[in-house]
Amino acid sequence: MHTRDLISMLFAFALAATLVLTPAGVREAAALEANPHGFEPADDMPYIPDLTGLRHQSFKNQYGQPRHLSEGVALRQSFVKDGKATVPAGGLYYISEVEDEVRPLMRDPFFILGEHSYLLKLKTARRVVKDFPIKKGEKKFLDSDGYRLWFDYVTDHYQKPYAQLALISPAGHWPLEFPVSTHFQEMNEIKQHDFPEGESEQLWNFYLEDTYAYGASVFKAKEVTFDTVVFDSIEYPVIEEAMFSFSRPWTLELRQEDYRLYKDKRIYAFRRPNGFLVRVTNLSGNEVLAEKLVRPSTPQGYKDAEGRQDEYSLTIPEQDMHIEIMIDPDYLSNSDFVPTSVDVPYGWTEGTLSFVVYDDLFSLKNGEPWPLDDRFKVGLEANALTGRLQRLILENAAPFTLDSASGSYDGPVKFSHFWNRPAFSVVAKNFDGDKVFTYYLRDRFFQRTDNMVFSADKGRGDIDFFVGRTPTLVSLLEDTFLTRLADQSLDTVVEPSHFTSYPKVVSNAAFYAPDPTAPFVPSQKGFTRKKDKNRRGEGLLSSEGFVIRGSYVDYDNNRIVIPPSGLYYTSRNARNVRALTGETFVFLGRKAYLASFESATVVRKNFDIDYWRLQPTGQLNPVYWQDEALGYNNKSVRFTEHTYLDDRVMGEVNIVKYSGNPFGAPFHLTQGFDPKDKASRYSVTELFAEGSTWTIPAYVGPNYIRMAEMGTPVLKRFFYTYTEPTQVKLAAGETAKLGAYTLEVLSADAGNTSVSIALRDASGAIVANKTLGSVKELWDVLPQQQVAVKKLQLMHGNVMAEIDIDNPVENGKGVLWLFTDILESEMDQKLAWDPRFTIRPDVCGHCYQLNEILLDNPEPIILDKNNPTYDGPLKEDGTPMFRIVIDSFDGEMIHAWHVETQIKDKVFKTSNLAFRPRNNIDVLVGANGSVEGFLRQGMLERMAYIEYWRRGVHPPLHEGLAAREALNLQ
Amino acid sequence: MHSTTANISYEARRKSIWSSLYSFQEVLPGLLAMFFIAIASNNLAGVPNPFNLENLFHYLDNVIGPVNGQYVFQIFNTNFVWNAFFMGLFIGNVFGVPDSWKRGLSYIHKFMPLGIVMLAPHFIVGHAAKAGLVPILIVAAALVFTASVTLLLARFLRVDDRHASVLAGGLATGDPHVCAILMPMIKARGGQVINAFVSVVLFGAIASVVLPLIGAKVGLSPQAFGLATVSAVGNGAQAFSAGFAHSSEAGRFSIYYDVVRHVLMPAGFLYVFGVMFVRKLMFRRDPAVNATRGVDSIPLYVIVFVVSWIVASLHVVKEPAHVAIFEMVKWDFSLAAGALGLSMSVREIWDWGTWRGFALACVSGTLRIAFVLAAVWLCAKYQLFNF
Repeated sequence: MHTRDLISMLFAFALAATLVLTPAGVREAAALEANPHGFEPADDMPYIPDLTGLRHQSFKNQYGQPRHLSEGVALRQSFVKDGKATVPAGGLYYISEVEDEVRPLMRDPFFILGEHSYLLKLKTARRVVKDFPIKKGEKKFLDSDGYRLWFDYVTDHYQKPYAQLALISPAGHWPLEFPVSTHFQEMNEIKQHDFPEGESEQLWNFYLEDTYAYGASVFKAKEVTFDTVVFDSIEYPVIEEAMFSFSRPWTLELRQEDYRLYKDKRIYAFRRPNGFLVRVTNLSGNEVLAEKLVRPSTPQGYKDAEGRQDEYSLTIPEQDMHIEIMIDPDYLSNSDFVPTSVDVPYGWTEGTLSFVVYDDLFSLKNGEPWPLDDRFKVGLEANALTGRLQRLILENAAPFTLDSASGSYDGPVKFSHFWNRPAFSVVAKNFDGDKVFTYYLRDRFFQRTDNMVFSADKGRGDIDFFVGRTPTLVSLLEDTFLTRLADQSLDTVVEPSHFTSYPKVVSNAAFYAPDPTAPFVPSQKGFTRKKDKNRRGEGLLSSEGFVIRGSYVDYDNNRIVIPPSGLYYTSRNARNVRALTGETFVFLGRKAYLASFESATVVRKNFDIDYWRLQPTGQLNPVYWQDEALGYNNKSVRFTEHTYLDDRVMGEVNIVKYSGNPFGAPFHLTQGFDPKDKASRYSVTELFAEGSTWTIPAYVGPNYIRMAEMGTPVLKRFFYTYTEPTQVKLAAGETAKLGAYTLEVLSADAGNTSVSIALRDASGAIVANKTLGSVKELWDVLPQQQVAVKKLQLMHGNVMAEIDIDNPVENGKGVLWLFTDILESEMDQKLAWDPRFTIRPDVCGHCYQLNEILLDNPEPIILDKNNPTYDGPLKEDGTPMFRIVIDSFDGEMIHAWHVETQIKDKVFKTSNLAFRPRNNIDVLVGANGSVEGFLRQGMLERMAYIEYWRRGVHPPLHEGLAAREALNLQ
Repeated sequence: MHSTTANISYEARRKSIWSSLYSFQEVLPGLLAMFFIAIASNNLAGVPNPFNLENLFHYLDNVIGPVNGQYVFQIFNTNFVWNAFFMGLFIGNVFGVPDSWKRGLSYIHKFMPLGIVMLAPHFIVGHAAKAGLVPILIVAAALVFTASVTLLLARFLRVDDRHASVLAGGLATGDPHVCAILMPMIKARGGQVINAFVSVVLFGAIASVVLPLIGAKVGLSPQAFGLATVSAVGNGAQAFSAGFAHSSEAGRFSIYYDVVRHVLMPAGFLYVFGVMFVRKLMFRRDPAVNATRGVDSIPLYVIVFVVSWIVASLHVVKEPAHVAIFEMVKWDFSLAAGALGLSMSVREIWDWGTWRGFALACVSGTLRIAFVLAAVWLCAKYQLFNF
């Protein structure tokens, strides 16, 4: 998948502009009528990360597996008009979410309006939508529940389209964007090739399927064009009903052929060949209240499949009882009853059988009213991968208004063991016409957020907001997070470092991400961010920046160290830079034209990748020795996460680029699920291929993956010039000057779309000749296939002529583009005019094109009292691109440092990048794809800190598992 | 009193220099009272007790909602000293203090100096360097000016010199806790300290409202105003509230410059102590001179503190160690403040002139505001600093 470009941001601006320019009355009426499901709050909505009544904690289930729970409240699609705020139905919603999933039979915890509950039963289904067309940019309803499909963008390879789409739940969450195309090869075909290990030539095929199988979701496209995608079928999981318990269960040791007393009842257990006959009677045993064969539950994944769950429990709703039989590991080790995590969940060898009796049962049906308050409607959302519960939303069933007379609206009434009461209330006051000047959210403990009108004098035209730390926020902010993080109205946000006794020290920062709290400087004078057009009129945004990563304070020696590869200059376009189309990029402040490139395919076979999370010290130091290299300084393979689909391990493998950014979305690798097997509830392909990167696993395990084969492109060198290429149209026998040579067209064949040319030196001797073309024969692999590209170019010395692929011959004249003063940059080569830096061109994993140019330091950079400044890479005129200046450093804490650039005689400085004390000088400067990737990784925590920065207070300390997760954002 | 040694002469039981101390049995009830008050007041390292006064105030802060982004109870300076003191004062005045506690409570005289010494790593002068020389000079000048003016004006308002001293320290440094720190140095009475403390906090709260209004008239840049709040308002939250009331940028600069005020704080209370100590030496027979009376020489703990401060400023104590030491400071002052609260009657707070201390704080504080605004304005006008 191509890295997300900045076009989405421009879309957001365009959308906002459209909304602003639409007549207000029309917009408001439309908003009230519209269904807000799947939409996000206003682009500039306030985000408040913490309110005590909205919980954000991690717990373990009965098998010791952690579950990360969080709650939030959002309000969307509201507007203020004539002193009144109006919220459409579904506009205000409470959201309770887990990071991955909760399952029945596991005692998985789940928050419901602040109460700790346990999921007991789940009724799921797979919804199928047939023949579904969607246009580019649309977010179109798939069903009446409010699921939407979003056609985000489309790009091309070999001039054929492939589209990126996402399934959006009613709450606004989407797990990933998936690519589909109907124009390329199936990934299984990669197996037909027999690549040698090492470097091979560029692939001719491009691998992308019409079907994207993502566990419980399958998207099968019928036709993909640049404007429309028509799906043959879209399948995704939905949850119809869920049953919870609001109380911790009673655990009674089971006695075979005997009974245990539970309140005023007896619970018998009679041994049967395939389980226990569980009988519940009254206290005297005279009256049988219920009886059923119950099999002991163990954590095998298939047991919660539809139709099988009932085998493992006895539910008696009229008695408010739900009974399971569990096999305890040693004294419930690893459960949240005994908060220890010294054991492993599957590791017990002996244990006892226990009744687990739940009461305070609570059933919810999707789309039905909330049982305690029919003003709110229940929404149950499944994890698109596993099909199990991930999210509960409670949304207002009817529109409501707030005004000066009635400025408060209560949220849904919550269950409480003591006092059922509104879980929260939205308060709005101080209306003036179409503006509101005060609104906030108050929780069930009467605690409130700050006034969410941050600009007290301007007010707001809506009361949209998001409060809480649920992962859905990341999806909701997709279009706006970069704009938000780049907002300089609060200056450069600097998060203070946590000072420890042992700094994170790495010997080489290649493939590392910067500190997730590194300050972000979105723009700095001297760094180009400019749009240019190629020959076809396609606009391409070029953007420069630089990144410092892995820097640390060596306080024993009173110095700051940037390790090798810790400082890199980056130049990147919104997409890859292609040859034959006159595309440009920026290199050290100068506009350059790509002439040609040389790429190859790196193949590795039969190697193991360790699970990355196994760290030696538990201090969260990022030790990446488990990384496996794909080519020297090219890509790194990292096994970062795994989950289980019916107990089969699904590994998440990231290909990490030299810059530290992942290449697209992670690869999901698992075995044994055939997408064509309709009996299986999960569909996942066994190998993974996207574009020109592929992986064929031999074995996928929880602790390591054995790769049978893996391949990806590598860029060896690229050719460019700072001199703008010129177009000439020459008939046979006509000549044109090309650098020190003379170019002569020998023949121009319009039918064959080819032009024969010769280069003559000053003496008139032919030094090179070639027939460029035929274009039409090569058309299907243009402009990405380098063998084809080279057939259309003649390069000699520092000059080059290439045929115009869109119009090779015009009126009998060959149409040529002439390049002079061509320069060559080779991977791992020192920068000619500044050997302190090495060139690391990065390649697109799909298409072999130039993706990014990096210049990094091969040697460590030391900053101390004697050397408080360091010049970045020199431009060709000998002036530094930027300068790092340490202003105040006490040997342990950096109190002030900045980056400065100089344009003519004027020096431009960033703000103090240690406004709050820092223990490193990691920084992100500029806004291109690499920087955006890093910002995306820690988006939620960054967004949360901005709120504390805005108020000038410290965020609350994280504790327990939450602290570990907060620190483990990398 | 349950004393086992009361009838035995000191000479008879003297075995070592530690013999002058009360026995463990004698001090245990008082120490336990301090301990339980401390953990009921604050979140202290090693005691995960959620039901304490600090958390109650934090809860109430969230019910009230932020004012200019800041928590209201922090604007009124609730922290580990005030919380424990308040708790002790409440218990002592409502339920009384048994005699058996009193010997243990006397440990306040050990805990206070110990706490002061342990505070040294909190004030690393070099941390102010990032602000630049001019802001440092402005903050230092405001500090000396305020302390001097307060001590001088106290004579006209007939405020007891001990009361004036602790008030001068608190007002000048912008931190009301300096009133408590100065208590053993000046030999101030508990009532004087609390009276001064309340006066400084109240004036700071007023100044945090008034200064943004004046600042808007003076036309200072956000950066300059941020510096002015630090020097002219009071404790951190009050200064930040004033800054954010002006603008978010000014608020952030309040935070940025606050470190200058913070690290110079010892200079403030050492200055007050020095002035009053020299004055006492000069007017030893003057009955009106009470401050530092009984302090015949510079106390050992003050010397130790100064040495520690210098050593800490040489960056011997690294940040993780500083954080750990500060946790001990919180324990120490929580115990001491609990004892102080238990030892004091509410009436005693007002015995030293119900409004006299507050009047002195208002007059001195107002002059300080004028001084700081003038200094900052002049620096900005003549571009002595790049505001």
